[in-house]
Amino acid sequence: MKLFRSLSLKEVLNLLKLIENEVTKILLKKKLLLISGILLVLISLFAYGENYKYNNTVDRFTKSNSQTQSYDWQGLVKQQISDLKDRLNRSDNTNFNKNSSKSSTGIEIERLQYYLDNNINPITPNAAKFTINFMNQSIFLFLPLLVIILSGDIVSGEFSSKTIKLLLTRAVPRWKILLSKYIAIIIMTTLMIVETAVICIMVSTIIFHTGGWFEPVATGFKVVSEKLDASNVIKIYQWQNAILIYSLGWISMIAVASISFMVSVLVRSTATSIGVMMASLITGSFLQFFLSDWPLVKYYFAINLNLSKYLKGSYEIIPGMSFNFSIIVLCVWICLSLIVSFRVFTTQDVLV
Amino acid sequence: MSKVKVRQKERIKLMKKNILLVENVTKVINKKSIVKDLNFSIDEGEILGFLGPNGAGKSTTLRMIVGLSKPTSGKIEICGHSVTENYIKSMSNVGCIIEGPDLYNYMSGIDNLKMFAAMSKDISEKDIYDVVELVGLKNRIKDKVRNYSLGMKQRLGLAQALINNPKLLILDEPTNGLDPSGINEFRNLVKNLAKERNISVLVSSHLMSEIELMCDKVAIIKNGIILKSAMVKDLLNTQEVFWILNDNEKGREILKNHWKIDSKIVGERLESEIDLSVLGEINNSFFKEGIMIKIVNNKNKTLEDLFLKLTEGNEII
Repeated sequence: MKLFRSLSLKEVLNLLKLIENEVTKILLKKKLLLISGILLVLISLFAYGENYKYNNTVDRFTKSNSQTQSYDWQGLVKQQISDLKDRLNRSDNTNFNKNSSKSSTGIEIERLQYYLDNNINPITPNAAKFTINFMNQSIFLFLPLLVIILSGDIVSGEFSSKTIKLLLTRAVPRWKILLSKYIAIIIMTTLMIVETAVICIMVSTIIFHTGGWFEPVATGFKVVSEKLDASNVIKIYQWQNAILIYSLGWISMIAVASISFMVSVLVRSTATSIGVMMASLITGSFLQFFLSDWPLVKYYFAINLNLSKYLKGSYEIIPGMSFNFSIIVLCVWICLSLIVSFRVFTTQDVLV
Repeated sequence: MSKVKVRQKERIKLMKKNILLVENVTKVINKKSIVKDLNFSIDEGEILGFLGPNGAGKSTTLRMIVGLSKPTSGKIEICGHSVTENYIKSMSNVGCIIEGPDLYNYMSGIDNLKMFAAMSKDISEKDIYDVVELVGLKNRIKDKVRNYSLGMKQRLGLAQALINNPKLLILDEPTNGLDPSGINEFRNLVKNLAKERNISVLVSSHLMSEIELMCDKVAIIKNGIILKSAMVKDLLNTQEVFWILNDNEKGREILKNHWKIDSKIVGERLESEIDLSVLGEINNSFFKEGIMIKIVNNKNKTLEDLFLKLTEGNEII
């Protein structure tokens, strides 16, 4: 028993060394640096653009309402609150609305009240909103592209540089080498998500000056039989919401990384690997727009990437899709990718 | 019963001596037999040259030995461990350079070595530097590999092959692209390794001179079949002698009558195969018969002659 334990500990240490090797390789290729650069430039541009747009809107508003010096957003919000309260009371009396939508309306009122209490204009951009928005916008194409840059050459790169034969002639089983590579890209993907969050927070805090992390929001909407079900809606703060959305983004990115990993095992050159992955991502947005009636489309991984849209209660694109459905589809894709990768990699002849 | 046991013991003894054993190995790729029923072995400290034209199946065989591809049938054992069944144990005894030293260009030489060292068990920092010193790369080991010359890459390739202290070194065309002095140095290095550390070496090459100078044994391979396998010494030391006499016809008769040796006249030479120890006496008998010997010489063959003779016809099957 003791021997067994020390043996397995040795195995784990062995695997850790392999993972360290793989991470070192990615770092020495300066990919993370490249990705950080891209993220920093893009996020800064977005944040600047949003700020510019906001200032423009405010300018136009003040010009058109020449009577009031600054436009009266507080009045607007108060009006909204009383409308919502009216609706809430009416539904109490007539029992017309479902019980469930009451809680979401309640949270909406609370959110508007928060703006009034803290003297915040609801259309003012803030760090929390920007950070969350960035993830929601970039989850379809931009972040997957960065993941592909990280993971597209993890195996095919070894083939194109012919270094694979050095790796596979060591006294290490092939599955261990592949596993170390997979864990390495998981680590890098996780780092990338964290980095995205950190850069978003830093840049947006510098540009917008306001955090807005304690603004209450409603989340937990569900789609049941093609209708919005708000019975499980709960109130959380923006910072919790941000963590939730970034975690969901992480799951999606793991799926992209796994598929990209499989493609990297299957093809022999890095260029092909990255090309195939980009094509399949773009196909995803294509399918969504043009073939959304076709029921098979919903099983395609690229369509299921935006997990957080279900929780916000926004309109679903393809019938039959729900939060659980998307999670399951992504998990199936991850498992299949791993099975194919390990099968092919451990049995193929290396002829480079 | 006891006979079987004795035989088994003998076999175990034999296996211990054999560092590499290749038995009936066949490889079929796309319904084409690249390697057909190959048999050979390497003993401890022995250098075997694998000689063959391009596309003869040399690389395919070496790839099967190091586990990069699987034999369609047959058995490969390294230090008594089957490569297909006990991959880890057999591979821990092997170091190899397969088709050129392809290393990580974006890393320094020492980083490359450290990475490979981490993949084997129990290799200290000092071991790594010892290997670096051995291959003579000490001064440039901290440079990026992309700035290395081909010769330096070959040295680093050899260093990575030696890093796990292997018993069997497999070198596939190791001197491709090296200049003559580089080849010489590389050859001496490998020879020393075999002698001092008792490492067995399998070298493949299409350069005859290289094999001739480096190896103890040579196997000539073409179209996946070993055409000839022998000690280099035996292959080169032939018993063929030629004379140039003032009367070749008479000389031939003397050989036939006195010595019962067949000979033939080729141009102005009289050629024959004899036991070299009696050459003096034969010459003496020529003198006695009044024949003048202008030239007598051992008809030296080179490996190149042999190779070309064996691999005649260059069509690729």
